[in-house]
Amino acid sequence: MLPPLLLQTAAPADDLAQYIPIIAMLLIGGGIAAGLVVFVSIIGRRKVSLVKGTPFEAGSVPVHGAWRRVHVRYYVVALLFIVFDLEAVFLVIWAPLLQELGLYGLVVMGLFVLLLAIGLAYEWGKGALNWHENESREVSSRS
Amino acid sequence: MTEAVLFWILAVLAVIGGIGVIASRRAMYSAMSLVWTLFCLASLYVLLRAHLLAALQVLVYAGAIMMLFVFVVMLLSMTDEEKGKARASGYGIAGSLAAGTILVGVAFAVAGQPSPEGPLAVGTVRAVALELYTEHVLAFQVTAVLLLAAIIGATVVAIRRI
Amino acid sequence: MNIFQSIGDQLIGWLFEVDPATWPYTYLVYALLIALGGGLTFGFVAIFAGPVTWVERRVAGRMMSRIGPNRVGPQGVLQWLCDGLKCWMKEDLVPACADRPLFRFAPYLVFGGMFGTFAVLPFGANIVATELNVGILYLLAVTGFVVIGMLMAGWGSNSKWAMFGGIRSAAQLVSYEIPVAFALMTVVLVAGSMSLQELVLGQGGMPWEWFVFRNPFLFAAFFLFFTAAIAEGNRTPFDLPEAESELVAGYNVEYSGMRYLFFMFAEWANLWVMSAIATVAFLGGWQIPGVSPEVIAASEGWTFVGWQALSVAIFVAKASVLVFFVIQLRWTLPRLRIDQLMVTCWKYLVPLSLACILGVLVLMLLIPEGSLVDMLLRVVMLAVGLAIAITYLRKVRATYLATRETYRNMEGKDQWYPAYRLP
Repeated sequence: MLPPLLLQTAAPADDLAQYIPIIAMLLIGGGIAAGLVVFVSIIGRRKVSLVKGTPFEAGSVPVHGAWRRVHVRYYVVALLFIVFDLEAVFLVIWAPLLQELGLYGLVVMGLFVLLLAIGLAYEWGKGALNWHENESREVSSRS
Repeated sequence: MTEAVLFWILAVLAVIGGIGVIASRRAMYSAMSLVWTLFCLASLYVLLRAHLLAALQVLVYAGAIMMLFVFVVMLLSMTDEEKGKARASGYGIAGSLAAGTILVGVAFAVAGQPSPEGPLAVGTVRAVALELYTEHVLAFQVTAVLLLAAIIGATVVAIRRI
Repeated sequence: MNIFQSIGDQLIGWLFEVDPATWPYTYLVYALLIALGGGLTFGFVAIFAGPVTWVERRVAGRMMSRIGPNRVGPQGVLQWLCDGLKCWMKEDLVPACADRPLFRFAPYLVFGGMFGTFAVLPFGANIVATELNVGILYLLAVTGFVVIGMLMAGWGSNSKWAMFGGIRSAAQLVSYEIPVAFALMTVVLVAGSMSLQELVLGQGGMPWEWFVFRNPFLFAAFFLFFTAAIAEGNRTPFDLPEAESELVAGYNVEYSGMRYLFFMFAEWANLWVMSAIATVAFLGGWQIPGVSPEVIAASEGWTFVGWQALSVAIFVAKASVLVFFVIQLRWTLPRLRIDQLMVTCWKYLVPLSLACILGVLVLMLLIPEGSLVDMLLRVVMLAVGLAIAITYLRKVRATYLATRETYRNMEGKDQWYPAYRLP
């Protein structure tokens, strides 16, 4: 006979033990992956040749390396991401408290979201969200 | 005891990452070392029972901010000639001095503090959020203005004609 | 206290009949159990990722009026083993001008980031490795490692295709993380907690108790979440990072052998992860219809184990339906262009998900839970959901019948696979 387990709905906040499985998971996942790669590289034969070492370019010989400048639009995406990521974080920690804070909480968050919505609207209006707005500035293909 | 051991391991790992950030010749290595440092710092926050801060550290810094750094590194894509030779210029000395001063200051500030006893309940989502939305609500709103400025700045950078 | 500790305590008490608190080897048992749990999860990922590739290829074959892999084993079910074995045999190539450390390390980061999400996924009533009260934030944070891993792979390869694939993947993943976070916000609002287990407990076993059918805005949020999650998982129609027709393969062009296998692992397991999160957040998770969590907690012995097994089965069944749906989607829709992809995210999904949050807020304030209007709304939404599902099934059936008819007319005899011979 197995004795009953308790249904743990909420782990106590002050408990480092809840992070052990996460660390273990990352270590085991990474460990098995690395172990397999090493194992295969040990049993496998390795032969280096010029052609094998060339980056794949569908048969043609690469004319230069790939570390060229990328377009500035990726920077815009990253910045937008940071802004909205922060907004999401603020929203997510605010959500469980909504019942407590009541209307006050609603106003506070409303103002916050409104400001960021203005930012998004500004980007939209200026066309910064259009990926191909400034096609001629594709730096990575030239230079 | 376990915590002290964990703290020292993580602290040393974080410092190693920090050294990697300034010692790497390749900007991409510096960025990756920074990811490592930030991850170690998040683990230190977990030791402090600052669960929310730990999650945010990984989510916002190791995730979002690092993305921006990596994109900027790729955007600039400096070649070795452009970077020039490593040199111990006045900047290096001034930077070391400043860092040393801060280190000494922090050490003095921390040494005077008594270490808290018993479990802390200040790092949970609830505690932080309550504090943030009542006590520090002005700072929270100013954050929105700051983020708005960041959006507008990015637009100005990216669009040729405003 | 997590599941490993409670199982460990009971195992010790059961097998050795000593008090786990004072027994010296307790931590050894915990460690062994955690290792076992990790190994089981890895096994699950492998067992899921492998056969699903076969299922996907058979479904693709069916949808394209061809057969698909059918040589290795009965109906080709062992095809995935061959594919896996092939990767074991391959040489682990590193391009000559690649950045070796980054190139080598990237697959672990991508795989680890995906594998880490399994730590908080509640598979059953008690079958969850750990329960963080910052569960949703943890999920979003771990996804960040996948992004960094892809950037590392793309940049470290020093190949133009890989580079473009890498930065595009990164841009896509981070952009679609915003709608995912916002859509999950709606359920966090309703459940009042960020822990995934609490999200499940906030719902019930019956469909009208699920979050998705609670009100129109949650219903919309489910579709927004699922769309964005498909993009997060790099699946068609958002599989730009590995668009074979324009980028050859994306960030993993230069990889071969085991490292390539782990990228593929991560991708296929991601299919599971996103379906599982959708199930947990919107579709009632592991909740057994008609059995409340208290009943499960109060049960003893093998009854308890039975409930656990049933809850896992229900969870897996729900998630599998979504997985199958995503597979079908891949062979139905064309791929988006990169500019369309970004516009879809920032101009449609983000504002719409914000509107969903607003709507959920308003409805939460206006309609108290359990009131007549609330019940009515749930029934109406359930009816809408059922109507959509039935329409979908009828369309699939009509297409199937039409194709069979075409074959009959073409060949003069019934050469089509019967429907039951799935896939």
